[in-house]
Amino acid sequence: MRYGMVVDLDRCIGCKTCAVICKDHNAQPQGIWWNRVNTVGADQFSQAHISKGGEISLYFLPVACQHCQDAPCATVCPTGATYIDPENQTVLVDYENCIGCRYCMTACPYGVRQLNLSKERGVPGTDGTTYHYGYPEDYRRDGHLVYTPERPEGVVEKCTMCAQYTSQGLDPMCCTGCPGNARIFGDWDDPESALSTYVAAAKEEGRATFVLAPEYNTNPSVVYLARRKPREEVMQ
Amino acid sequence: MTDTAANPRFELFRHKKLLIVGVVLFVIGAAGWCLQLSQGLLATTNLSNAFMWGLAIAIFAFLVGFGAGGQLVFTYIVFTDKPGLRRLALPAIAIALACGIGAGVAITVDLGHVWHFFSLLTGLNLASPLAWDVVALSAFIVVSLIEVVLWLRHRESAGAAKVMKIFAALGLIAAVALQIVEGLIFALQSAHAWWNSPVMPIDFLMVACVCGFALMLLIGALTAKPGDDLLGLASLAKVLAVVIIIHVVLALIELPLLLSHGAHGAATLSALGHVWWLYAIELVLPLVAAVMLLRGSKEQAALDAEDVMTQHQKLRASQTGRVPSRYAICGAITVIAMFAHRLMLLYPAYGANSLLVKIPGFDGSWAYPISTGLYPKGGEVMASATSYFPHIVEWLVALLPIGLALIIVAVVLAMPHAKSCGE
Repeated sequence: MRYGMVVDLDRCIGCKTCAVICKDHNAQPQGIWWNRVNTVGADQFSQAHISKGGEISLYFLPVACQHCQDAPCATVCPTGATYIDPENQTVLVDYENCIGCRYCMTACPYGVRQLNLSKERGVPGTDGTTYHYGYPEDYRRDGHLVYTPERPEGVVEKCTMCAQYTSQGLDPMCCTGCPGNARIFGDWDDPESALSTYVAAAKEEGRATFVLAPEYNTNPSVVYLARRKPREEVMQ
Repeated sequence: MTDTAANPRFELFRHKKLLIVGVVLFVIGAAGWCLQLSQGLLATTNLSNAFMWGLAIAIFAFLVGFGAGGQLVFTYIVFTDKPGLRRLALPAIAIALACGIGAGVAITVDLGHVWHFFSLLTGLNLASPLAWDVVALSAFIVVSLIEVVLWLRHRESAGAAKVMKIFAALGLIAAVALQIVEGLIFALQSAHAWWNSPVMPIDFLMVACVCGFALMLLIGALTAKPGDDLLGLASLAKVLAVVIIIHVVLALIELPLLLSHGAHGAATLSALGHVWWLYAIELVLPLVAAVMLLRGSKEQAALDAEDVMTQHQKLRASQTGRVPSRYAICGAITVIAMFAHRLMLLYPAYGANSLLVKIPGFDGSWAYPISTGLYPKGGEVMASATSYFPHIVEWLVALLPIGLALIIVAVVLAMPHAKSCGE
């Protein structure tokens, strides 16, 4: 079994619901975003990209952990805290074994791994109180603590494909919450899975797929369906 | 009355100033680390997810270089047996041991979650270059420790020369292995064009040579007494000049190699431009030292044609302070440049985004911003790169391994028999 995801860029409207629902359900500390939606060509403010010819484009690219099958982060982790789950091939982090050396962050070409720099628990509200969110219980997988709402400081974290939910037969929250159904989760090894059938149908329509940064030979489990619409038709 | 030569004893305060400086730095550093542990990384560092290795890593690499370099000089002294260098053997191997331990401490205090440290022992992933480093550094420290003990206790015993040569050779292997592994930690990271180069491990070795010979030349020059034989120091100076030139050539070879990384390499070159002054310090200061040393060795070459006694006499006669001063200046500016070199490991690497995406429907390549983690302290939430200047607490913490290394050197030099080593 190999869990994966396809992101249909024709369907992505850049609403960032996937980023927010991911943050909420995974109790991500302040400043941490496992999943984000970039506007292709734009700067850090993710506004519309304006080309040299003055054309405005809104072309979105959601990016989270690519769950590489040849994951450089797992190779370089000195303690084995980052590992590839033998059952579903997702790349996970054991919070109890990570020493916070950040070698995985330097090795990851996608810039999706994040060190929890903060000591604070929860998020300060405007009324002076602190509030907490996220799946409320620890989730262990073969003894590894791969999800905890009480995130330790100085530990590297990233997308787990919602291990706490997929273990219950549910989809990752970014797929569940996407209003455009742009993200489809499933098993690459199962030709009948939602993922495999969606990609097969798209290919039959002649649509192109691509992975991020193939030059790094990481063999990602996240695949993108390229846009069909030319940029100038997106927005006048 | 006690005869100290016959009954050598441990004299902790033999190098009182060195010990006091070491203790002060260690205490300040320890206080800084406690502050970091209690206040958290966000409040006490200027690291971000875009610039996640900072001053502590530079200090780690800096100390590792001097550790391996001290060992290389020790091996050089044992094998060449140059006149006037034997007095530097104990300081050299003491520095190797101290800087090896200091480097281990530097990397430990840099861990985000040091409380999980023992995971390194229970779950060491031997596929990781960092695990190789743990093994190589541990082996290096053990070999250095054995060499210190052997040199202190048995260097004059029968057959000692042969045993010392065996261990000096082992130490050489350990030092070379350590530097190659250190280089591989960086060189194997294809996500960073600045590091991903076959030259990197070789240059790490050269930098260790530069560090070791520069520091020992500096120490040798500062501790030279009137009438001392300077031929040994002159040979250190020659070697230093040669390894500096090799290092600079290797560093310059890296630049065209960067271009093989395409747009990523070009972005890295651009990032390099932002810290050109640091790069200039890294390259120009050692070159100045090399030129000064080579000019000095020309003077010596004239002496080489004459008989040995005259040569010694001339060197002694010339010791009005000019030669040791030149050596001291060259050693000092090279040490400063090597610190700049270690900082330069980081700035161009993190100044350029690792991923320039090429995707269908978009012309050219584009570096998407990443989540910096700095929102809670008012920083940018997303950025392609973040600026970095170490936080004051990071500077304080950096003093901890340096202070510890100085303490270890002072303690080794205070050991029984150390005085009779001529240090």
